Amino acid sequence: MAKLKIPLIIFLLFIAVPSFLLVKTHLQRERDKVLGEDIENNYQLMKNYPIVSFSIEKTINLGKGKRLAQVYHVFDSISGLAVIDYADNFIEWLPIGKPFFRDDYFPVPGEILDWLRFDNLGGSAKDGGTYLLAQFANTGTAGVHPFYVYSYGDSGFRLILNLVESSSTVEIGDLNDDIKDEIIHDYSIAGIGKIERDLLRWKDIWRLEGETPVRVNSLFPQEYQSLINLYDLALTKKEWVPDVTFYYPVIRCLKGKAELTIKNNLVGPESCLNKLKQMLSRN
Amino acid sequence: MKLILSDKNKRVITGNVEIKFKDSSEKHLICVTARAKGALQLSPSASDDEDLTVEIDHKKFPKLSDPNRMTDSPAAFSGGSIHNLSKSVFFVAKLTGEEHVIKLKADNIPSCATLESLEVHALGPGEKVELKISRSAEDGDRRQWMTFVVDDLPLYSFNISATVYKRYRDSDDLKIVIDGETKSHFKENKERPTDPQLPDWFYRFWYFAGALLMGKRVISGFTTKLSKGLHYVEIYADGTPYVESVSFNFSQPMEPEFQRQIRKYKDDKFGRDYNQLDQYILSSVEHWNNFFLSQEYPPPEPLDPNFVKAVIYRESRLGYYPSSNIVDVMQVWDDRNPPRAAFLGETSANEFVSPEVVKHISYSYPVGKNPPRVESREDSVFWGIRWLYYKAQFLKPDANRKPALPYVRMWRTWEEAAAKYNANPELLRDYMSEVLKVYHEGVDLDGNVLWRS
Repeated sequence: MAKLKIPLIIFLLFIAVPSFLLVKTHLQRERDKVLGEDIENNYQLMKNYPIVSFSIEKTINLGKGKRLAQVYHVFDSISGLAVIDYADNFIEWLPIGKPFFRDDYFPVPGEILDWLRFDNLGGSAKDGGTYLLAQFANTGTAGVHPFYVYSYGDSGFRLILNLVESSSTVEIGDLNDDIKDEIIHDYSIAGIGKIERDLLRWKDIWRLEGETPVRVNSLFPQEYQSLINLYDLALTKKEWVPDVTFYYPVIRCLKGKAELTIKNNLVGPESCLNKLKQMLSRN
Repeated sequence: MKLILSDKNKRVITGNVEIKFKDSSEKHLICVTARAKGALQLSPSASDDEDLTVEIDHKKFPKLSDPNRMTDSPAAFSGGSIHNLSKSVFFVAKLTGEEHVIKLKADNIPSCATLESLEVHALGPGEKVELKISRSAEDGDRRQWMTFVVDDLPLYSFNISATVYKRYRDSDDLKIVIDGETKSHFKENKERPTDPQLPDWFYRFWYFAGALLMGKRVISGFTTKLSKGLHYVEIYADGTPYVESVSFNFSQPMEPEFQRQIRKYKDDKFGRDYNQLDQYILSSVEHWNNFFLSQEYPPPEPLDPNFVKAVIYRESRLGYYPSSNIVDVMQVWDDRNPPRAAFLGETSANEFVSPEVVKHISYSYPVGKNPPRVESREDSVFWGIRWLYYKAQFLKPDANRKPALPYVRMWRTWEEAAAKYNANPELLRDYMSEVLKVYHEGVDLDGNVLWRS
């Protein structure tokens, strides 16, 4: 029996040592992945978190053994953004990344993920960089697509821009070829019904100065002529008179703001939204 | 109803015969028509009748009073009862999975029976079963003619349209037996038939008596209110009665007044017909109300078509904005809005199906409307109401917000559901205030009076 023990031990070592080295190398490779590498669809459940029904839908490597995960609660239909490790263990939520229903109806950060990526916002079409961009969609007729910009550094994620409006789209592009991307946020100031979603539109153009978002609408007056054309159509189209007359004061307000923007004044639609709210509350 | 399988190959069944079909619908109607001989019809020395039993996906259909008795169950073809006359058994069954097998089992070999036809139809979710029978019984004395087997479903009511004639010597008669209880015409109606010359006691168990009805077509309804389970509705024939149609309601239908009362809107300023979508609203609300009311954990309050009308007024001015050609009047199929992707399964949209199952809402799509599309206003209203129903429900969570097995469905109020339908973070109250103002008071934002109570 003793004669058999030594070859058995040698055999076990022969098997175990290479296996250990292989696993170690694999784990090392995983840890060494760089920021933004390997976007994966995962669909495992997130571990080490009291709520167990979060499915990990999409991950992006952060390096240092961490991954960014978009998680989805399959029963509540709500998404979140978390940092997890390679064993799918929860580490922390991103700011506003923890899923919850605001007022029991509006999901934060969002219901379904449209897209997320790291970007340098440096005018390059390529992914990569230290800004995390994420857009969600909420499944309602208001067409809300919440949009988030985070910066990522040694201290983790910091939320620097959060845009939540109705019937919204976000485009990233370098509008003036200065190797700095602009964030073009096109939306309705009030997505109540189709009329408001179609006609009470506005566009904000954002640029990041370091970690500070700056609204730069006035630098891009050419972007506002199409809005004026839309407002003019709304104010004159006979077929729309029964439905749109109520909104004329708001549309005129928006048109005034767009004209000011074209004249390089930095203005937003806030006062027009307040006007609409006053009109609605009177009724 | 969609025909899945039709086997009209008349043949003798000996031993066991398996007939397989594939379909993933939840509910099916399976119709088996066969005949079996009594012992004396086989030979003077025969001691056993021909018998044929049916199993579907290994599910047996025994006599209700004794789960071990198969051959004399109403769902079986017993030669001793039907004496080689044609009998049809209609199974309305909930089947799971895609692959199914119907097993026809003749009693002990060499016993056999004759299969005349077998048909399988897929039923859409919530689809009412309405069968056009248009058939007279073969001439024979009192025996089972048709059986309707309702399995794993409630049975709220049963309707039959039939004609029985008075004939020389022996008139046509028809007997209805539901879960072993014979329906009595006198008991049900608490009135005697009009012919005083006939001994009514003789006909008390034959609901349709030719001697009394004399060829008059009669439509009778039976409110059974039977809870979910195995149920048999048997129709016995004497002579050659004619059955035109039968129908089943598995759930309590909405009150007719509730269904039909939709407020008429008026438009004195511009002459628009704000009532042009009423029929679509009524039919779609009825469909989805019946669908969800027949499920476990039904909504405490059915959806009011007037509420839907107010939502559509807010969304698209009841089909007038941006033009009178707008198709997607409920805005459920807008490219910019995610419900479309959810309907098509591109994004998640799960809900309660049963205490054991939560899955994508596609389980509820009716046959003929799968995959969903919005090519007409009727489509938009139909799927918009389905989306409202999706937004109205949620699973009861445990302390960790994890839905616990067995799943329990909870319901939001319809106002909360409409808020989620729009999902506007900032102007929810304004959205709801106009919907509710139109719904409750009939006045819109502009002060237009759409209706007065």
